[in-house]
Amino acid sequence: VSRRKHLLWPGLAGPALLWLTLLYVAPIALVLAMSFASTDFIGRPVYTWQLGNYHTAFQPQFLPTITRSLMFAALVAAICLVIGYPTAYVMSKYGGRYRNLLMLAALVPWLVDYLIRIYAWIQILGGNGLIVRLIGALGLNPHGDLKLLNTSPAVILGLVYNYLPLLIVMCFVAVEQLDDGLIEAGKDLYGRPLAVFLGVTIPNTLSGIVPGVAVVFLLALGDWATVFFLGGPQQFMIGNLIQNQYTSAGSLPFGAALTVLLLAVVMIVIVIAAFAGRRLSGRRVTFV
Amino acid sequence: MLLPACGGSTAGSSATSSASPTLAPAEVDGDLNLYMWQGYVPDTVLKGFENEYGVKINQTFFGSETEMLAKVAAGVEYDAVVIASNYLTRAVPYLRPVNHDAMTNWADQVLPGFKVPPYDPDPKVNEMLAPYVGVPYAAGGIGVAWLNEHMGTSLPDTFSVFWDLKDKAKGHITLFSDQQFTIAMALAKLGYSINSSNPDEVNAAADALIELKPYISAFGPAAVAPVLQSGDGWLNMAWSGDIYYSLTSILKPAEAQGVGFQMARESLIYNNDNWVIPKSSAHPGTATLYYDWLLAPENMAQCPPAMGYVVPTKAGVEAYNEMTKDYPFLAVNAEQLYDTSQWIAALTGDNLKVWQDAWVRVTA
Repeated sequence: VSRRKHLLWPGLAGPALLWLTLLYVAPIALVLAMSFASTDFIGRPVYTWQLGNYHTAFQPQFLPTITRSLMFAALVAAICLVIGYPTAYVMSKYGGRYRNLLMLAALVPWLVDYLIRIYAWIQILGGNGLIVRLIGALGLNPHGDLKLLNTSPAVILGLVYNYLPLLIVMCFVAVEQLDDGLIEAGKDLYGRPLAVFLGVTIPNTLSGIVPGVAVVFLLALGDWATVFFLGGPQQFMIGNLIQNQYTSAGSLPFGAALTVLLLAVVMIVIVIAAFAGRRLSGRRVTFV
Repeated sequence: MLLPACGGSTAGSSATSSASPTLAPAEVDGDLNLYMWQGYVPDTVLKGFENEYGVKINQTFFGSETEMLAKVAAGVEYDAVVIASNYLTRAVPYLRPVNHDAMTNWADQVLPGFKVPPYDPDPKVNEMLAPYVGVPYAAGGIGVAWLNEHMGTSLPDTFSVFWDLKDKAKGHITLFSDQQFTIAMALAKLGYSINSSNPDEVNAAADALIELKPYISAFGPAAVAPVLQSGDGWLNMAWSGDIYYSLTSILKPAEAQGVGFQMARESLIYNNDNWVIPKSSAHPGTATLYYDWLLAPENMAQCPPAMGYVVPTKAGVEAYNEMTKDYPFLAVNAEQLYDTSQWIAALTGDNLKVWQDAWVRVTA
C-alpha cells in the first residue's frame, strides 16, 4: 500500500509530463537537430552533424541586427518598468475595492488579437493617420513630411504597448504581497518617503520587478511581427532574421541555429534574473 | 536557373520512381480537402461542385508558401493544393502526376504554352514539372505602384524609378520582404536575368538594394493596399493581381484615382500558382474531377474576377481581359505568358545559398 501511495503523486504528474514532452521538449529537440542539418539541392533540410549554421550565425554581418535587438529589448523593458511599476503600485495601494477590476482593465487590450492591435497602430501612426493629421491641423507639419510609421520610435511604442500589461500584472501581484507594516516601520524609523520607497518598497517587490523586466526583455528580443509591420529595414531585429529563414526562401537549418542561440540567451537571462532576484530580495523568484 | 544534371535528375527521378504510376481516374473517391490561399476560388464554383457530385469540400488556408510546403512534405492529407511556380520544383517529390487525359476540359482549355509550362529557363525542368500541374491557375507579375500626389501621374516604365526617384520618395518606398522577388527586381534593374546564378550579379543586386535601404520605409508584406491607403507607400513593388484587387475592392474610388501602376520594361517577374495533387492525397479521383470542374469555361469565367489574376486557359484569359478592360496597364497576352525569361524560377542548390547570403547582407 505504501508503495502504491509512493507512486500516486508522481503518477499524477504523468499527463502534464507527457504534455510537456510532446509539445515542448520534442519540438525543441527537433529544432536542435535541425540546427545541425544542412540543405539538399532544393533547400530541404538534411539531418546530419555539422556546425556550419552556427559558424554562419557568428559572422560579423549579423552584429548590427543583434546589437539593435538587445538595445531595443532593453529600452522596451526599461520603459515598461518606468510606466508599469507606478501603475501597478497605484492600482494596488489606492485602487481600493476596484483594484482587481483595474488590473483586468490593464489586460483588456489583450482580448484583441495581437495582429489586429498592430494593424490599429498602422492606422494611427500612418501618413493619413490620426496623429499625423492632428499635427498637420495644428500647423506643426508645414512640409507634410512628418513620418511616424516605419521608424524606431514606432517599433518601441508597439513593443511597449504589447508587453506593458505583463509587467503591470507581475508588479501588481508583488505589490499586493507587500506587507504595509514594513513601510510603516520604515517611516517609524524616520525614513523619508523616497528613502522608504527605495529602501523598503522596491527591495520587497523585486519578486515582481525582476521577472517582469526579464520577461518583457525576452519577449521583445524575440518579437518579429511588431518590427515587420511598424518598423522598416533600419529596425530589423533578430526575430525578423529568424522569421525570414522560415518563410520567404530562407534556410531552415540556419533559422534553427539562430533559434537555438536565442533560446540560449533566454535561458541565461532567466537564470541571472532568478539568481539576482533571490539575492536582492531574499525571496524565490519564479517566472510562472 | 542552372540546373546541375545530377540535381535535376534527383528531383525528377525521386518523384517519378516513388510516385504511384497509376493515374487517378476522374471520379469521386471521397470528400475533397482543399489547401489554398483564402478566397482563391469563388464560393459559387465550390458550391456548384459540391452539388453536382454530392461531395463535401473542406477548405484549409495557408499563410505562406513555406508553411504550405512543410505540410505537404509532412504528408498531411490534402487532395488539392495550390503551389507557386517558383516552389513547384521543390514540391515535386511530394506530388503525384495528374491524369490530364481523364479531364474533359484540359486539352481544349489550357493554353498550348502551358501544356508544358514556361516556368523554368531549362526546358527539361518544365518537362519534368508538366505532369504534376492539374490547373495552371493564377499568373501575375510584379510592377510599380505609386501615389500620384507625391510622384506625379506618369513614371518611366522601369524598376530604375526606385533608384532614380529615391530622394523624392525618401522614407516612403516599400519593397517585398520576400527575398527572391526583391533581389529579382534589383537584378532586372541592373539588366541581369531575374534568375541569375552568377554570384557577382546577385551580389551587385544586393549592393543596389543596400544603397536603396536608407530610402526604404519597409521590406513589407506583398499586399500593397494598406500602404496606399495609409499614404505611407509613395513608390512600391506590387503584384498585378493585388493592385487590381486593391483598386476595385479595397480602396475607395477617390483613393483609387490617386494610384498609378505599371509593369516594368526590364521584366514582368511572372509567377503562377498551380493546382496540384499531393502524394498523400486520399482522394485523387475527386481532385482530378474538381480540376476538370475548375477548367470548365462557365466556372473558370468566375475565377479571375474573384482573385485578380489571369488564368492561362482560354476562358481564364477571356475573363481576365474582360475584367481588366478599364485597366489597360494590367492587360496580358499569350506571348508574354509564354516567354520563359519573364518567369521567376525555383532557387536550388548553390544558387539558393548565394541568394540567401545576399539577402542576409541586405537586411542585416
